[in-house]
Amino acid sequence: MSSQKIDLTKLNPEQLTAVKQQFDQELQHFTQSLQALSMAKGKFVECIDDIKTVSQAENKGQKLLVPASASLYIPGKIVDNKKFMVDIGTGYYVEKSADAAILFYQKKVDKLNKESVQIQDIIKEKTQYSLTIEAQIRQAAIRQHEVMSKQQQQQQKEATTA
Amino acid sequence: MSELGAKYQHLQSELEEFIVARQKLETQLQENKIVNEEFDQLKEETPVYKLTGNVLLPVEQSEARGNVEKRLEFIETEIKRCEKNIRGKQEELEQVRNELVKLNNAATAAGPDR
Repeated sequence: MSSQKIDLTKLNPEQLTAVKQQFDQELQHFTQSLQALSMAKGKFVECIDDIKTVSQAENKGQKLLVPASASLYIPGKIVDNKKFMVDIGTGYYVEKSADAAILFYQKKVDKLNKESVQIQDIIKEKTQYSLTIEAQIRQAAIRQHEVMSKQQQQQQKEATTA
Repeated sequence: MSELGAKYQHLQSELEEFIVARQKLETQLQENKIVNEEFDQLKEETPVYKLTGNVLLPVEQSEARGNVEKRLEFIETEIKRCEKNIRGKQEELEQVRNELVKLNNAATAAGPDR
């Protein structure tokens, strides 16, 4: 799509508006993706914090309530606060030590950060384009206006000479 | 002319469906790849569990590995099949588009004569 170069100055206002609409749509798509990424990142960061809290020495043998369903809790006790079950995807869970689990989530967060930066760059670029197109639309409108007013003047002149 | 146009639109929506399916497969492929990488880093004695319904059931590591590998294979063949479908639909679309352009040109050429 972007490999195709279009000379914006040669497009009429309608075409320019269509191009701008397409750009705005893409922009929206990327903004949504960015939001989804930062939400996912938030979840992973939360996991890291939880592991850090639970694995603290004073929390060994700590009592807690375990959710058996969304509305039913069972009293429990942390037997081993150094081992965690980590969801590695597609329904598989793996036992990891606190450090390994934190590393696992940290890697995910780093990856998401990298992707966020990429998307932010794309958004910046697209916004720039969108602004340029908007400026072109304005110029095209001015040009059209000038042409029309000239025609009007011409017609008025003709009317007065006749 | 309008019949051909309807056919064109129909083909277009079919192509879109294939593309959505292809994207879904890609997400599945990526997720399974990540799981596979995780499995590769596991120690032999590390227990693996599978979430079934609301319960974690212990599974053999080798079984889990085999499962994910099989799934990866399956997804890859699905992707190939899907891409073949997409290519086929694109060719079909191209044909109909050419016909449409031809008809359109013929109509505009015949237009001024009338």
